[in-house]
Parts: sequence; C-alpha cells; structure tokens
Amino acid sequence: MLCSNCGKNSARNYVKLREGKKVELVLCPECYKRLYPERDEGDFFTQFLGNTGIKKSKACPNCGTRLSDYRKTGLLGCADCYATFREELTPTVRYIQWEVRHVGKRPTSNAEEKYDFVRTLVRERDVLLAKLDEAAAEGQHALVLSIQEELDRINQKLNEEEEE
Amino acid sequence: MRGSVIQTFESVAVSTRIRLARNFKDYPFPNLLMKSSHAEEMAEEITGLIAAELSRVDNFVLYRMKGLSDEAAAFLKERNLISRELILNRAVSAALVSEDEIISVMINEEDHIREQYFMKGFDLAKAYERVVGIDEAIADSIPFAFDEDFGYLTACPTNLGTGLRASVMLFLPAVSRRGIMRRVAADLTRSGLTVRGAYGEGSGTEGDLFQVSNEMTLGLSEEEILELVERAVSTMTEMEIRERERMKVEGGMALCDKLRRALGVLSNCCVLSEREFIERTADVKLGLALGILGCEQGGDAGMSALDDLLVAMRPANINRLSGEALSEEGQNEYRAQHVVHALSDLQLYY
Repeated sequence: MLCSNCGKNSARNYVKLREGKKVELVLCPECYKRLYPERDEGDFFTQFLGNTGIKKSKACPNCGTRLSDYRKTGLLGCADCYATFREELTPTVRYIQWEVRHVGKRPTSNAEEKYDFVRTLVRERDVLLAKLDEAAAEGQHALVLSIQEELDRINQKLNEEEEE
Repeated sequence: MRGSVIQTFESVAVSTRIRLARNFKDYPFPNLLMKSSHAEEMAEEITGLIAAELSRVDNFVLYRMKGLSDEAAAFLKERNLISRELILNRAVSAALVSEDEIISVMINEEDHIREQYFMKGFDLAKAYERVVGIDEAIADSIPFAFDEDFGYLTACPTNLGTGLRASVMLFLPAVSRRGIMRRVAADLTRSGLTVRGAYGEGSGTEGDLFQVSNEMTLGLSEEEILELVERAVSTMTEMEIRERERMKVEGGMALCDKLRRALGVLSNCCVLSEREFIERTADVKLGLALGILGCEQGGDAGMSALDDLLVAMRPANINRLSGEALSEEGQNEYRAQHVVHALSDLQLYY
C-alpha cells in the first residue's frame, strides 16, 4: 500500500481524532511527520492505551463500559466512566488536549434542587400526552377535556418553576 | 469596470458558529443510551426536560428525528442546523431550532446536548454570549456532568473541559489557489487550531471555503479559546487579502477572463450542477473581492448574497423551494433558472 500523499513510499495506518470522529490516514512516516508535525507518529490509541497494561476486565460500575469498548469507538459510556478510568484516561486526555486541568466556566446554579421536581412533572406530562392521544383516537371527549385540564395544570407548574 | 480589492473582514469571514457540548450526569451518553431497552423513554425524558427549559428563552421548533423524513432532515442539515451524526442517531435524537434559525440545540447527538449559535459574518463574542444564554437557561434545572479536573464531561475526550468549539468559515480563494493551504493548516495545528474543507470531513477545496476552529477544549478558558480563534481569523484574513492583491497584480487577462466567464455561465446557463455552481460562484465572489467584477449594491453585499444562494441551492433546499421532489437533473435545471434570476436581481457587472 502506497502513501496517499506522496504516492511513492509504502504507507502505514494512522488514526487521528477530528471533532470526536476517527479519521484513518494512509501515509508514509515521512509524510505523516511533515503533515502532522505536532504529534509523534503512531496510533495514539495503541500508543496510550495499548501499552498501559490495562486490565480488560475493568468496567464502569455505572454503565458497564470497558476500556476495550472505548478503544473501539473513542467514546465513553457515561459520566462515571471518567472517574472509573481516570488513571488510564489521563495520558490520552493529555495527548489530545495537551492539558488535563479544566480552567474555564463551571456550573453555578442550584439545578440539583429543581431537577427532580421538573423531571417528575415532565414524566407526568409524557404519560398524560400518551393518554390524550389514546382518548382522542377513541373519541372520548370528556376524558380528552379532563386530560387537557391536567396538562394545563402541569404546564403552569413548569412555567412557575422556570420563572422563579 | 475595475475597482480596488475589498479590504473588509466580511469579504473573508463568511459565518461564525459557536457550539457547547453538555451531558446529563445521570443518563448514559447517547452511544450507549441508544442500545438500552429503555432508549425511547430516556430520549423522550431528556428531550422534554430541555424543551421545558428552552420554552422560556425563545420560540423553538421541536424536530423529533425519528418522525422526520430523509428530505426534511437533509434540509435542516444543509442549513447547518443539525449534523450528520444527529441524523444517524435518529432513533433517539431531536433538535430544537429557534424560529430565526440562528440557535439550534441538538439532543442526543454525540452528547446529550449540543447548543449551537450560527450567524453570518464574524462575531465570536456575540455568538458566544448568545450560546451562554441558552446554556444557562438549560443549566437552571439540569445538573450537567462535570468534573473538577476534566471540566464538562463529554462522550469523547476531544470535547472535554469547556465543551466549546468556536468555528469560523473563511473564503480563502487566493491562499488556497496559491497552494499554501497545507502549510497554513500545519501552522494552525501547531497553535491548537484545526482547518478543514467547508463541505465536511475530507472535503477538499470546494468553493474555496474552509472552517477554522479550536482543536483543544480543555486547559484554556472560554475567553482564551475565543481569542485564539479570533487571532487566527485576523491573521488569515490579512494573509488572504494580501494574496488577493498579489493575485490581481499577477493574474492579468487570464484571471480576468476566468472570473468574467464564471459570471457569464451563471448568468446564462440552462443546466447547473451543484459542483459547477459552487466552483463558478467562488470565481464570481473572487471577482467581486478583487474589484474585477462589481455589484450595484456593493461588493460585500454581492458576496453575502451569493453565500445565501450557496445554501439555498443545495439539493434538499431546492426541493423545499420548488415544492417538488426533483431528480438530480430536475434540480440542475431548477438551479440554473433560479441562479440566472438571482444574478439578474443582484445586478452584477464587469
């Protein structure tokens, strides 16, 4: 297989991440070094994950994602994965981001307090909307009206919550 | 008629996009959520929570992707309101789009929430300010996944930290045609930026449009990221204008002929493929930028109108405009007819 850039030398496969997507490159080492001078040559998944002696059995206790899954997709399974694999991920993060310490904006609101309340209302609304479709399809006009009243009540509560 | 080379930012920076990536802390990330037997309920809940928060900010139209035809999805994508990945995740994904089509919030793309502000021209600060407004509204009752070290947590580590991607679309015909784009791209990469063709991953120099954005999202504050991109755009704008001046000096009759011919084709064609339209429009825009071609409303206004036309003449947008599901041949004829009229209205001249 020849280099897709110079077309002369024999190529190797490289993987780069672009906006979260894996891009496969077929380049000779010379062209790779020239086109991507800021990186050492090599597949960083292999470089950083393949050689760290990761135990394949380790899985996120919350979602069950394993590091081998991450190596395949480039994606973690849930927020807890970062805590579970912090040690193993830190070199990868440093490689991708050059830094491992966030210095920007952080959440400030008291969202935790409102979250459960709003979520309960949204769940109730979803159930009522399904019932409304059913009642309308069956032509149960009285039921449709009472469900609509209930939905109005929930929407009003949601708006009140948001305005606070 | 010959004018001088346009020196404005607007003649180079076509559009600005700011995107923030956020996730709920207690739902699996979309790639895993999709595989769950409760995928539909979770997706509905996430969508409902975000929609409830956004309803007080502005009027948003909710598109549930699974209920959307391929044609309607392509239409939104061509208008930069949704991404290819959102369409791929259609079983669980949705989009909330503001009525003026400037703000879109993608739900269950690669992350639970992708907040985006897209505007014509170049104004990173304004675009960021608007996205922050959306972000804070959603954050009011949704606790985002956040880590002291890694910042806002995202499905892919490439978006960790701020979750901020600031992108500016640049029209770089002179730099690109001089063959120095690769060198420029390498310089940008060394500064923590990335540049790619406007028509997506792996696209080449079609339309001489390139998207410059920050590669790193962690370890820099939001302001530092915006400054980095702003500096790069300023430098590239200066470089492009200098190259345009050189091009005009060196180009002679051959350049003049090429640009006038492009205007001739667009003003008189009967059949116009998308590829040819993109290429010829880039030439006409370059003609306006160099002052080799003119526009009654001014060169900048002419270029801006042509940028709008580039979006309006994409396949799904043509079908929407014509009200028919046209074949490729039908679209090429429709495009030609529409472009001839549009250019006549614009009153371009040489």
